[in-house]
Amino acid sequence: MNTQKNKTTPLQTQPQIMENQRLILWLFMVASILAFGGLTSAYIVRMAAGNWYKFDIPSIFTWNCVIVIASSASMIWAYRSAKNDELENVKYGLWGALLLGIAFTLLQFMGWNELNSQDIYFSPRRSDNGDLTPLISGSFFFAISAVHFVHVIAGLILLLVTLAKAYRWKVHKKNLLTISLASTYWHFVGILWIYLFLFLKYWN
Amino acid sequence: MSNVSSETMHHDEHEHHEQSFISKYIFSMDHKMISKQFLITGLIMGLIGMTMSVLFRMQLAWPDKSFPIFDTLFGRWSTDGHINPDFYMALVTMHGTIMVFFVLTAGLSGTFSNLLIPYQVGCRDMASPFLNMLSYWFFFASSVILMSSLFVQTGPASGGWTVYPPLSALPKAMPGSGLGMTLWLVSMIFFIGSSLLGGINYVVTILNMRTHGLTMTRLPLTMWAFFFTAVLGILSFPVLLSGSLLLVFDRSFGTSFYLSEIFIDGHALTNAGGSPILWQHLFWFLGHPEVYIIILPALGITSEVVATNSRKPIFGYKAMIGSIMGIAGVSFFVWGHHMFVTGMNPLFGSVFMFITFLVAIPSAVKTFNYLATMWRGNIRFTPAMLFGVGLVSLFVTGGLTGIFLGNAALDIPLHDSYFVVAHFHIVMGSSAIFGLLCGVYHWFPRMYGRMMNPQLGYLHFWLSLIGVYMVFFPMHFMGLGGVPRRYYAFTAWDQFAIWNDMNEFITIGAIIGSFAQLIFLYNFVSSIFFGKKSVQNPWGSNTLEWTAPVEQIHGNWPGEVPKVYRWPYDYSRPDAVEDFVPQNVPDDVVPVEWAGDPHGAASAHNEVSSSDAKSESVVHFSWFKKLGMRLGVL
Repeated sequence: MNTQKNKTTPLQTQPQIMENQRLILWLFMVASILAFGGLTSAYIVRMAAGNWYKFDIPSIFTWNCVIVIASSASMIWAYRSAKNDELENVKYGLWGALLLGIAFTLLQFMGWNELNSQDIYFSPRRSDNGDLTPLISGSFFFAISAVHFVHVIAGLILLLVTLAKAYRWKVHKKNLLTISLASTYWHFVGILWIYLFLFLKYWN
Repeated sequence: MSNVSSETMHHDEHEHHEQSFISKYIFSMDHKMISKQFLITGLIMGLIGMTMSVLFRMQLAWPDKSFPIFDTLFGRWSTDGHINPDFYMALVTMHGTIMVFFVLTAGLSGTFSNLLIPYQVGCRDMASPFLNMLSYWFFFASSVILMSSLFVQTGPASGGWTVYPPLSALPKAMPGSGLGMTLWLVSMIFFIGSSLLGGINYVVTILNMRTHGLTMTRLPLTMWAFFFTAVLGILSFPVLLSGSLLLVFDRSFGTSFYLSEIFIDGHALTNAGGSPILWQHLFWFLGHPEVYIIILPALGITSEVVATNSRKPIFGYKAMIGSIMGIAGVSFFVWGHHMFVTGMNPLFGSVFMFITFLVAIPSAVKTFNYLATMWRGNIRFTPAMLFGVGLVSLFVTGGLTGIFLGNAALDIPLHDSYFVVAHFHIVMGSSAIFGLLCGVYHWFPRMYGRMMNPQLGYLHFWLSLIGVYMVFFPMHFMGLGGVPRRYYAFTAWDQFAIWNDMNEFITIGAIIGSFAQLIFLYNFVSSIFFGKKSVQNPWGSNTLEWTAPVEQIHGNWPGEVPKVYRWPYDYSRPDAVEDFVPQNVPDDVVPVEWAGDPHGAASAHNEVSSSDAKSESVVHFSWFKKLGMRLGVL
């Protein structure tokens, strides 16, 4: 009988998995991963269909991987400092992460320009003799990196918010949530870029 | 903000303070108000979608007759009382979009997740009330944008609710591919935003904010269903977002993700090398989980209503959870069965076919469990219960044709015929609508503190059931007879003339069914203001939402939130005096002492008025038992 099976168990508080905000962030990142999963699998399916133009990815994008790693390192430093109540270092670390992030966005623009100068465009162009340059691979590169770019902008906003809090001395040992969320997201965006870069470079 | 005094009934950040009209009714962050907002927006959208279906059914049934109402309503899109073919397509498209996304996704899961999750897990509000509010207003914006496409010169999107390219990707392909299609996509992007914000909130609330003693396996099945619905949404909507972005790029920036070499009017477009099939993959990767996003909440609601009104523990609680998980898991690997005719590799076809058939197992487990729960139960046929049983009936009827369509060899001839229309309208359209109505009847007292009129409810139910079967059952035969869907008239083909009478019959069914919904709307609106005042626990139900006072208060419960001591299905325990034991009744007062008035554990505010629970809203169907005894089964 079911009634017997569901007898007394000791009353307990239900433990939380993690803070609500953190769980929200993680679920958002899962959703993001799925969105990129959609884009990259579309890429794979489209490439398997043939008629695919292979091109070399400008070295700027490789440099951007280095910038991403440096920025994440600065973020880790900021977080560690916050944990140890070294409030000045928190600001330096955040500034480092933020400036490197801005450098990343600028370099992305330079990279896209360089692709354009290699005749690789977001949308196909008709050349002078009327031939099409069906560079679907280029369209994919631009689309995927642009969607990632939007994520980076969101990350920069989050960093700015954290920085503003740091200036009001609200990021310290006992108030780590903001900086820890910002750093989780920032690492996520960074890892995402490295994954996308490797994917676009070698799955080509 | 520190007006927390000793008189303030509850603590935390939830103190009472006067709210302005705007913060209480419009930009409300209270889950109960947001759920009403979702419900009412959903019902309005449903009314619009239903009206559209009746109008295009009239065109379909009487293609030779002239209806002046078309001219009045549609203006230029109608000539001499006939809907223009292009606009017919637009109506079908809008009907599908509205019903699938706006009524059955947001209207169903948005309403009941918002209402029930905080109540049934015993917390004061959602994890993030702000995101919750944002979720509703994204949905509202998305509805307004979609509706605005009815007022643009070229008309709304008309490529079907699945918006396959190239019709959706080339703005000049047909009238509805223009601004209407752009608005459709913008609306959908807002909708996806709304759905993600809502879904993330639901998952976090269920995982993180359950009250004391409420382990996952003590959750009501509604919670399990809403939980997996939200998980499915989080995992599948982003993929549609990506797909839609690529479609926006194709439409507006001249890329060729979905467009291959196309000639229009003898001119080659600049597009090259894309594949429209790619959209179908991305779309159906969402689209198939989407149908479970629609049906799972309906099944969850039914589980709760069937158990409560059968006065029996739900049969196979863990099997129910397992089958929800099974359906949710399998749903990501079956999208190919929508694409059997795209020329896919037969091996893939077989794989998709096999996985599709697997869906039958958890679905059958659920159906069996509903029947077994009702078996020898002390059934009360309240309107909610009738709609619950109606859902089971429709789910079985529609599920059986799913086995036909899941089979590639049968799907290829049946594809895009009325057989498909019949199948999905029964299995996830009507049955989810029945789930929605079941939920509205059951939780109306919880939402508005009043009862709906049960007599009108019975009338509504029977007319709806008759309407649904009248409309969709004959469609199976039309589909087998080769009648294709999405045709504006069949007058050009002699071989379809034999279906003319059938088409009229179906349209009459549609009018009956729609009329029934008007009864419901009347009942709904008038009961909000004039319905009989509800008692705290009108159905004698075990779940926590009925331990809160009838008046909705900010924070749900005065004082402490209830503690949970048992699972939610302790109905008709032989050792208890009452035939239900709410979740917040401690064990030591259960067997004999608890007689509907839980002293000790539940203080005054948790009082359960059990004497009222058996008031006139309770119908005992003794004939059912008598019939059973005569048949020797009970």
